[in-house]
Formats: sequence, structure tokens, C-alpha cells
Amino acid sequence: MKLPANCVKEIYKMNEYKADFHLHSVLSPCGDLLMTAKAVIEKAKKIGIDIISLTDHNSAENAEIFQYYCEINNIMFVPGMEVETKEEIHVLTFFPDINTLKKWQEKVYKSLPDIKNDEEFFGPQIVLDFNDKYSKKNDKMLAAAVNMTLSEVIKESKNLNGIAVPAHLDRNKSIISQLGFIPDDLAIDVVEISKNADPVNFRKKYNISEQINIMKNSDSHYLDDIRSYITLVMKEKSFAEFLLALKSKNGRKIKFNDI
Amino acid sequence: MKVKDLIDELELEVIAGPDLDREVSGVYCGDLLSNVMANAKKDNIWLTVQGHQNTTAVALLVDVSAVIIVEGFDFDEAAVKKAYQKGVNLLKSKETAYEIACKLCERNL
Repeated sequence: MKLPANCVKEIYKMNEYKADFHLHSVLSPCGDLLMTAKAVIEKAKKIGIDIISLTDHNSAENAEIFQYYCEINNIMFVPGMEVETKEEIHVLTFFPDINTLKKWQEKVYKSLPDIKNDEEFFGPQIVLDFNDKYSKKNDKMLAAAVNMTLSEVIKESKNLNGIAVPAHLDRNKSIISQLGFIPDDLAIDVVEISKNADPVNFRKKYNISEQINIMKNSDSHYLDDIRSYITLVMKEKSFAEFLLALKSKNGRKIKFNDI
Repeated sequence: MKVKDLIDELELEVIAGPDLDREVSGVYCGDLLSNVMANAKKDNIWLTVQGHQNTTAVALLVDVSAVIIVEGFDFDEAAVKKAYQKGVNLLKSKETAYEIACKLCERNL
């Protein structure tokens, strides 16, 4: 039986969600001291962001408090972390829930070098309490490479039902800067470019396969940098839909915002 | 000077040696492959700690005479496999890039 056109349209009705998936809190040594959960999420709300992630360097100890403020503000929170691989490539990793992210964090911590953070040099790494106040400092050196290769990070993320997205390809500490180009057999669906890059020119310049999607995020370290550069077109706010949109599957997709 | 002449002199381990009769000319040190692609020259010996399979690909692209991975780092399996397929020499040393570079300099490279 053939369904009438308007009926098909209704079933597959998509919504648009403004997104930003790359942000640093006070936990990242390079994150500004004003980047607390409340301040970041209220700013995001003010500029109309519907979905957000927190991607601190090699740690996710502020994820829960960010999720809490997202819930209050009706913003979808995607648990995440920015990992630095053995090749010194930055990779965004996203997971379906906080517990899975904690498992990932355990793995990452085990694979970090046993060095203490030099706060004077790199900056403080602050963990927030549930009142959004500074509660303690993480003393691991988070601005370091873990002992996992790029391929291992991609594989391990998938094993935890998450996804790995190589970060800011047009900048340093990226696949392009460290490895020259994207290896053919790398099992990735999406890469990220920085806010300064143009997706069309970038794809052309580095000959990125059409099989690989491009996303663009703010990589905010300061409140003023927070902005949505992409919109996810998908049915609803869920991690499953987020994955489909990132992979451009079943009519879901990533759209670039006019800025 | 040929690649094979350096192996004993510098106590290098041959990880993949499909073309050890190649002539060597000049040396390049670098771990950022984007930079190596832009600046290394044909027939150079390339010193790096980067053992990813892209190292083999860049070695082939630039057409270096051999890659020496230094400080006891290892090449990935895929890097070694591709090196045999494509005829790229992969050598290994426990010494630092500086120490190897000094020795290559003493040999007028």
C-alpha cells in the first residue's frame, strides 16, 4: 500500500536543533575561570542553543553538574570529553549517558602519564560542586597525551556505544597537522573543523571523502566565544538521533548556520 | 652513501628493508607529518618518533631514502606492512633524533 504524501511527511517530520558540541569548563587548564556550568548553560540558553556537550581535556568530572543545569534549562546534554591521543591528535568523544562517560574516564585516566599538573604553567583544573562553586582541583596533568592511538580511541568509543570525532582538523593537534591527511582505513563518520574554517573549501583542499561528514563547533574557552555553528536536523532530542544526524542517516543531517 | 652502509655504523635495527641499496642524501627531522610533507626532500633520511601508517605514506610521497624511528619508539603493524608493499625502508634506533643527526652529520650527510 502506498501512503499518501502528506502522511509520509508527517511520519518523517524532522525538527531543527541548534547545537554546540565543543566547550571547555574551568576543569580544562586552558578554560577561563568564568566557565562554570551555570554561566555556560545560561549563556547557551540565551542564544538559543538546544543541544550542548562539554568536552574538557582528558576528563569529565564536571559533566554531571553541566547535565543538571541543562535539565533545568531544557537543553539536551551530550556527555563528552576531548581526548589527546598518542599521536597528539585531539578527538572529541561522545557517549549515551554519564555512567558510560565515567567508564571512559576511568580508561583515559589509566592511560594518562603519571605527572602532576603544573598550575602556574598550564592553569588550574577546577571541579565544580552541585552549587556551581569551585570544590576541588584535579591534580592530574590533563594537558597531556594518553597512551592510546587514534584508532584505539575510535574503537574504544564505539565499544561503549559512543562516537569519536577528530577535532579541529584545520588547526594544530589535529589529524591533518600530526598525520598529514586522514588515513584511508580510519573508521570515522564525522570530523570537526574550527569556527574559522569553511566546510566546502576545507573538503576540497584536503580531499575529504563524501562519506565523511563535517561538523563545526565553538571550542569555547571563554563565555563570549559560545555560539552555535551547526543545526542538527532530526526527529527528537535523543542520543540515538544525535548519532544518526552526525552520520547523515535516514534523513537526519548536520546543517551549517548562517553567521 | 647507501642506506645499508648506515645500518652497522649507527647500530640500526631494520624493521622493513625492501630497498637498502638506495643512495642517501641529506637528513630531515620532524614529527608533524604535515610539516614533513611540505619540507623534507627526496632521498633524505627522515628521523621521527611517529610510527603511524601515515609515516610510511608520507615517506613514499616525499620519496625519502629511509625512515629512522628514534628513542625506541615502534612502527604500527600497518606501517610495516605498507612499507614492504611499497618499498619503503623503516629503521629503528634507541638513540634520540639529535644523537642520530650528529652521527649523520659526522658522515657529511
